[in-house]
Amino acid sequence: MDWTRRDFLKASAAASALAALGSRSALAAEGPPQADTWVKSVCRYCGTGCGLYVGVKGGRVVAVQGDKENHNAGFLCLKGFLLPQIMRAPDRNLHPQIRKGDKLVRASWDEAMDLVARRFKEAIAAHGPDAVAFYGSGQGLTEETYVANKLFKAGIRTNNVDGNPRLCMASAVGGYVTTYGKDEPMGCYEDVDAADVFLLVGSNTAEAHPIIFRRIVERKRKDKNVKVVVLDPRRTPTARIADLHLSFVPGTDLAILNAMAHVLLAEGMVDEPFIAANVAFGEGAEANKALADYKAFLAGYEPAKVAALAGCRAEDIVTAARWFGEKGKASMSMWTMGLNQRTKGVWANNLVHNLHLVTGKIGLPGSTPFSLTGQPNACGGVRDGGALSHLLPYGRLVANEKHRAEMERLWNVPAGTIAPKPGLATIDMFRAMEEGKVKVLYVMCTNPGQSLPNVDRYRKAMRAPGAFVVVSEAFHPTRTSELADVVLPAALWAEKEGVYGCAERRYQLLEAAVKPMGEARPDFQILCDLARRLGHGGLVPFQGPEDAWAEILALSKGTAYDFAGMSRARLKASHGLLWPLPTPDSPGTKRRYVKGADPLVPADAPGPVLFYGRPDKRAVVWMRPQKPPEEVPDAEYPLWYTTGRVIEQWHTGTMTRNCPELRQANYESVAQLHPEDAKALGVKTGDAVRLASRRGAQQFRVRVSDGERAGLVFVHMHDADRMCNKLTIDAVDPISRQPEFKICAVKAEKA
Amino acid sequence: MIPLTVVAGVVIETLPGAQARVAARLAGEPGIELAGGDGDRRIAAVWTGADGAELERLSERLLATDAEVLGIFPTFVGDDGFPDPGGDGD
Repeated sequence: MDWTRRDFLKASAAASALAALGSRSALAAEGPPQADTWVKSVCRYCGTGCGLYVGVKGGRVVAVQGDKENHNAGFLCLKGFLLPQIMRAPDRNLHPQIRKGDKLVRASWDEAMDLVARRFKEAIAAHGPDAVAFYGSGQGLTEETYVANKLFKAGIRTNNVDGNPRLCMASAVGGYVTTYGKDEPMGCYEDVDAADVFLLVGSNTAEAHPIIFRRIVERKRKDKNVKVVVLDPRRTPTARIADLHLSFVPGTDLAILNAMAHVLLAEGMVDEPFIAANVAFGEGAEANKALADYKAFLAGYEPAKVAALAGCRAEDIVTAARWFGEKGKASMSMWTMGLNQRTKGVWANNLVHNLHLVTGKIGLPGSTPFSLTGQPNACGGVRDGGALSHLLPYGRLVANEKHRAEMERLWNVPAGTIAPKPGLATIDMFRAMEEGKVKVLYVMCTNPGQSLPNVDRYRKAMRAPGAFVVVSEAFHPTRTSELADVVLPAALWAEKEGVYGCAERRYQLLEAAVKPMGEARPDFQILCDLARRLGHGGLVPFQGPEDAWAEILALSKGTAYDFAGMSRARLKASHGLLWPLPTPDSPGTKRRYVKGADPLVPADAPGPVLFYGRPDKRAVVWMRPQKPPEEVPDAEYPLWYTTGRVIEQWHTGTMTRNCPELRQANYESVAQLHPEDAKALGVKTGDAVRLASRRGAQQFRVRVSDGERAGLVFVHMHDADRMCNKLTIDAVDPISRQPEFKICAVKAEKA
Repeated sequence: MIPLTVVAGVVIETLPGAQARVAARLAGEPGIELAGGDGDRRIAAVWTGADGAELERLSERLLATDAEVLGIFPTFVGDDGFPDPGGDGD
C-alpha cells in the first residue's frame, strides 16, 4: 500500500460522507464489518469526544461506526474509523516485564507487582512520601485516574500526582480559573451552530479537531454571512476557510488580543450594562481595578503600534475586532495549544476571555469562549478529577485547608492526611528525578520519553542511577517503556470500562467490548492491586469501576461541578451528559452560569448570567501586557521553531503509527519551511535539514510550503524516530507550569 | 507557488428514488468520485478541486441544472497544499 496525503484526504472525505449516510467504515482492516454486537463507546483520540459503537465479532473488535445520536451526529474522522487496527497491533504489550541489566525480561504479574511495591516502600521509608510520584494521562479513564489520585494523596500522602494535561491544558485551566473562578468551558458544541463569528486562535482545528471543524464548515455553508477569523502565524488548513487569516510574529498574540480589545472599547462595541453587572477588572493577582484602568491600560495597544510589533496589518486587527464585536452577532472563540503551550499561556487565555466579557458575548447561544481539548479525558479525569499536583477533586485545591479537610472527611481518612503543600508539576517532577529527589515514578498511559520538551534531558533523568520507573502501557516498546524498570501490560480502550469527559463537559461511558489481550489488565485493576500491596487497600474497596464512580458522584455533590445525578445507569442509557447535573432528574447543562440553563444558578439571580465560581460572582477582565516568549531568534539561532499535529497522526504515534493506512501518511515528521527560507538554506522538498536549538538537534526531511511564515520552521510532533522535542524548550508558565512547546529558536543547515 | 487542492466529502441529496439517475449523471462530472449511496435519495461522494469556491460553483450549477438534485452538503474539507516529500518545492 502506498498512500499519499491526497489518498488519506480522499479516504477521510469518503468515510465522512458515508458516515453521514449511516454507512460504516469501508476501511476497516478486515473488510466490510460484519459485527455480531455493537457496544457503545467513545473515540480514543482527541478531546472532541465523538460517540461511536464498537463492532465485535468472535471476541475481536472488527469495526466502528459513529453514534448518530451523539453530538458528532455519526461523524468520525479517519483515525476514529481505523481504531479497530490498534487493538491487535503487533506491539501490543501483553506480559509484565522487569529490567534485568540492559534488558527487559518477561515476568509474572506477582513478580512485577511485588517489585513495584517493594521499591515504593523502600523509597518512602528512606526518603519520605515525596520520593515517589505518579505521572498520569488525559487518556486514562476517570475511575483509573481517581484511584491513582486517592492512593497517592490520601494513602501514600504525597501530592506528587501530575500528568500530561499539564503539557497541553494547564494554561486553559489557569485562564478559566483566574477569570471565572472555576475551570472548564461554559459553552457547548451546539454553540457552533449558532455562532456568527468564529475566532480561532492558535488552533489548527481542521487537523487537530476535524469533527468540530466539520461543524464550523457546515455552519459557514448554511449562512454565508458567517465569518471565520484565524489568528495563527502559519497558514494552516484551518486558515484556508478563514475570511481573515491574521499571521503574526510568534509570541505577539497577547498584543494583538489587547489591540482587538482596544478597538472594541474605542469604537463603542462594549456592553456596559453587562460589564456593570457581571465583570470585575484586575491586574497581577488582584481584581481591584475598574473599567477606566482597563481603558488606560489598552491605550498602549493601538492597532498600528501593535501591527508594527506583530508583523501584521493594523487594518486586519481592526477588522477582526469589528467582526467579533458587532452588536447582535454571536461570537465564539476557540483555541488550543498555540495559546496554551506558552510561558504566558494563562495570560493569553485571559485575553481571549476579555473579548467576550467586555462585549457581553458570553452565555448566549453561539457566544462563548471555548477551549478545545487535545485528549479524550483530560477534562473529565484529570482537570475535573483533580489529578494534578495542586488540585483535589472537583475544583478543590491542595493549598486550601478547608478543601483538604473536606476531602479527608469524604475519603474517611484522619485529619491532616493530605499534605498541605502542592506536589510537583510535570517539569518540576522530572527535574526532581534528575536531582535524585524523586526516586520512584509510576507512569500510566502516556509517553513522556517522547513528549516532554527538551526531552533528552528528562530521558536521562529517567535512567539516572537510583531512579526506578514503572510504566503501565498498552504498547511496547515506546520511547518511555524502553526506559522503564518495570513495564506493565495495560488493557486498551474497548477492553475496559470507564468514563471519559470531553471538552464540552460531556461525560460518557465507554463499555467494555472485548477481553484484554494477553495478560493485559485495566489500569483500574493494576492500581487497586498496587494500593493493596502498599497497605492502602482500605482506600480502594472497589469491585470494579462502577463502585468508584458511585464514590466520585458523592465527591462532586455540592461543588460547582455537581454531577451527583449522573448515575451509571443514566450514563449507560445516554449518549453523553453535560454537567452540572446535580439530581437524577436534571437534564444536564448546555450553558453554564446561565439562569434557566444551569441548575446551579438560582432562579432569583439578578441577571441572565451569574459567574458563581468567584466569591463576588463576577468574571475578571485581566490587564495582561505583551511579553515576549522565553527564547527568541538571534544571530546564532535565527529561526522560530514550532511543532504541532497533522491530521493523519496523533500525539506520539503509539496508536496511529500502528494503522497501515496512517503509516503511509505523514508517518515521518518533516520540517516545513517557507520557500524563502528553503532558498536561503539551499534545500528543496525531500532534502534533509539539520535543525538545532540550544538543547538538542535532529535531522528532518524538508517540505517547502508557502503556508509557513518566513523565518519559522514547523515540525510534526508524532515521530518516535525523529523527536521534535529534542529541540523544544522546557521553560514553563509561572502560573500554569505548562511548558512553552510552541516557541523557541533554532538554526538550520542542509544535511 | 504550489497549487492548492481541496478534497471534500459531500452528501448529495436527491429527490426520493432519484439516486441512481443522479449518480449516473455525476459520474461524468470532473473531480467527483462516487463513494456510495443509501439506495434512495442520498449519495456519498468525494470532490477534488482547486478551492472551496470551485466547490461552491459546482454546487450552484448542479442545483440550477439538475432538477433531481436538492442539495450538496460538505461532510469533510481538507486540503493538500504540499507535494509529497521527494517532489519539487519551489
